[in-house]
Amino acid sequence: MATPTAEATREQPAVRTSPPWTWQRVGLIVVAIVAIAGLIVSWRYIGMGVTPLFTGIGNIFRFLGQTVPPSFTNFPHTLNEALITVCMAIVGTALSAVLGVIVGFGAARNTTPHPAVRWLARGFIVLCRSIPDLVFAIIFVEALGVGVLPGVLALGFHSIGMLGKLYAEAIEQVPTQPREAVTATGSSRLQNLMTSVWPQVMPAFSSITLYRLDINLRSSVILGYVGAGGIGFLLEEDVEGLNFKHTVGIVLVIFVLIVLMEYVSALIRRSLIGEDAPAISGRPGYKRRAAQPLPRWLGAMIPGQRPPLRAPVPARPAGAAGAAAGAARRDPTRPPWTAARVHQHLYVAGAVVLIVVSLWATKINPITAVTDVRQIWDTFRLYFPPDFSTDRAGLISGTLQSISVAMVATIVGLVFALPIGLAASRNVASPWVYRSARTFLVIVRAIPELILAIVFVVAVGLGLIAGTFALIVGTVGFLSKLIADGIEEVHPQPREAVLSAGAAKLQETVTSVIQPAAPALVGNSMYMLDVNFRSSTVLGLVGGGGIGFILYQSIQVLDYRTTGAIIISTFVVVLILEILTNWLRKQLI
Amino acid sequence: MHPLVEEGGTAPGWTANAAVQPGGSAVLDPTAEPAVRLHQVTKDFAETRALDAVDLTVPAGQMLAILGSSGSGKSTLLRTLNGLVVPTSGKVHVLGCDVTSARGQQMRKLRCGVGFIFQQFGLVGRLTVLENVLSGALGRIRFPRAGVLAYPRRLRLDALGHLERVGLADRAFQRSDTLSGGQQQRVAIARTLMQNPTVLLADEPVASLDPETSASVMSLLLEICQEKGLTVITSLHQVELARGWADRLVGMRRGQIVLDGSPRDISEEALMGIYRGVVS
Repeated sequence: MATPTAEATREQPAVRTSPPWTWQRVGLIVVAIVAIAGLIVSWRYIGMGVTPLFTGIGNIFRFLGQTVPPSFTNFPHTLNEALITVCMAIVGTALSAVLGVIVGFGAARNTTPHPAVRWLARGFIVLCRSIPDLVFAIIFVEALGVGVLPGVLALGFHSIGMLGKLYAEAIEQVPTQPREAVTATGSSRLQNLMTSVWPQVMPAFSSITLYRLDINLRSSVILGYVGAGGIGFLLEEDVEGLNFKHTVGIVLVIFVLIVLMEYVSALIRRSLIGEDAPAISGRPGYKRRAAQPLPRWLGAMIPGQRPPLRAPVPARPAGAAGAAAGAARRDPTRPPWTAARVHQHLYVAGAVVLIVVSLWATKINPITAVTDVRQIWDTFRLYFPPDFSTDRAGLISGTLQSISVAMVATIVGLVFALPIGLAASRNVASPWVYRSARTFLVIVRAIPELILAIVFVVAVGLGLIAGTFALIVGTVGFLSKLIADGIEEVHPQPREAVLSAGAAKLQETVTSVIQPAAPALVGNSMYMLDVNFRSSTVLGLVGGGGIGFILYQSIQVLDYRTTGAIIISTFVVVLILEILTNWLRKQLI
Repeated sequence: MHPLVEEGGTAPGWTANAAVQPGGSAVLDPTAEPAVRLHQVTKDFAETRALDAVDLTVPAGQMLAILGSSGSGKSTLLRTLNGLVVPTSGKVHVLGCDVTSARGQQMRKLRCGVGFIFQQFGLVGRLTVLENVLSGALGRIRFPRAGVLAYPRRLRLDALGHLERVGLADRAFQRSDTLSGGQQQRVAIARTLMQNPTVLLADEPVASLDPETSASVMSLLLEICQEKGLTVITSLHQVELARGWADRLVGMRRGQIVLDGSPRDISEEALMGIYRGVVS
């Protein structure tokens, strides 16, 4: 028998089995504690509770009783206004996409021409994001009068805040090697961007833009409330006149439009993103399908396209004769019309047609928008210098209330969104659970926040609690979708590896799905906090309390400089959230 | 044996210079400028010294292989030659141009004549093979280009010719990220050929390929370089490959050149010493 050696019997140093305490680990724990403490403090500060909801449930039923059957009087007019709202969202999104691309390239670390340009672009992005679209709409209506153009400009400028930020992030994720390789060929800066960056960010840009279009369609309903055109104007008239049956008729029209838009954009997004997404279900991915030749009938319709042969392709005759025969069939330097190329051209053509038709339908003259710049500038100047002194206490308490509302809505929303998001992920849930969860999300997301706020105001009365409940429901719809989309992008190989090790389904989900998706989850939650803080300004419009309430009051009494002070306060809070989000993302990724 | 190496002697480029002719083959000319000249080049990255007072002269037409372990400064050295890395101090001259002071148009012109092959190929995955090859011509043309048809037909035909040369003409319209590693490196070679270079830099061009593919890619590269008489500077990890391929070997360790000579003059032991750290 072997005897233990002197080395073996010597006492072994203690083996460390827990990760070392780094500043990063301490920081993350502190953030988690602050979040929990923040939730408790915020909950108490706004007097949140579920009791008012239960006691007010009778009010909701009474209110709903007044809304049935929905009335569709003057339906053609309603439909026309609804379509104008869609067109407004399309033009506004197109405007923000064009400006967002320019700002995004300026703000991305790897493409900015100068650090000063980067900070300027970042500042502009945060500014656009921190001013809610509703405030933009109020300013533009003030400058340009009631109509669709103020709505388009409001959507356009506010959306730069999200698009510019997400475009810049997509650009920063582009791998460096292709850029370096193209630089090494002697290309100019612009050539390099077009060759090595643009093709790589195109799918992300398209997906982000479609997402924004989705959001803008919902927002454009609210903008009509302050005279920025579209169906919101009709909605405001009916709510003010307590004509709830017609209100519900309008809401149903909006609902159908939003669901339709959701369906179309999901279809396009899947086609675009599917190209790079990992194959999860084992079905042939888009990349494989796109590389296939077009059907014979479609190929025959396109000049220069050789219809696919059913029989095996005969070997090409060697030498000049073969080359000549090949060249006679098709120009060898021209790419063939594959399904992918046809799709790409159809999408681009479709987008251009949609924008042109929307411009025509909304009767917007782009020249007017340019000539009115002076007028817009003069209106903007009314808000500066900001006056923080007139209602300092109101400003501070309003800001704190809005932060509290956003915090409670985000964390409570997250608790519900996590299981719903998992259920809505194709690669986690069974097909029927997935379909049910997705349908639920489409329904929840199709109800405008303003309507939710009105329902909760009816149930629990005017104030912060109504606004918080409305935001919780909105958060569940929005965040569940973000979580589901993020989880669907998780790579399948580590999951297979964990399952191969004998892990149970729940263990596998936690280890190889939730953990890899955690950085995105935290990032999305922080983004949601930011969105909810800004949304609270919108809810103030219908009595949802917070900074939105004092904002609306200052606008109504034409106290421009106090409005300016509120805008600056919102900007500062959004900027702090932005810095915190960036720090957290850096620690987690 | 390498055709430029005389029977029983050292490589001609070792002692003689060749005139630099963009796109053409090197013609021996003892009075001509060396293709590459580094004088006391130092590069610091924060606390790390990647290059430490490097002096190196490479005559035109020479095939030089740089050996050394990871982090020895091979890649940084290659990148200083086409301005991708700016040295902290020292002078770099390539094709008669001072790389350290070149900016804008001058740098673009220099890069046109200096092909670079990367270990990770550096292809734009979402672009077709032909578009990737065409991007090699960007330094010679104006305006940004998007899509194959944005390039003149003459260039498209040239690119197809280069793809034919590397055996991938039938993949011209395939997305480049659908190709295998060896095929992607061939596309990268075709892109470099599109530049019509005089000097070819290759940063571990076969490090991410299997041995069989490595051999076929290297022999293709060798054939092309001989055909066009290019000055070649490549970093390699495979000592045997370098010995059979290059007419000069340079060993690097901790940012310094610790070995320099023809493959015949350097023993196997001395070469392995670069990796073990015993070469002084």
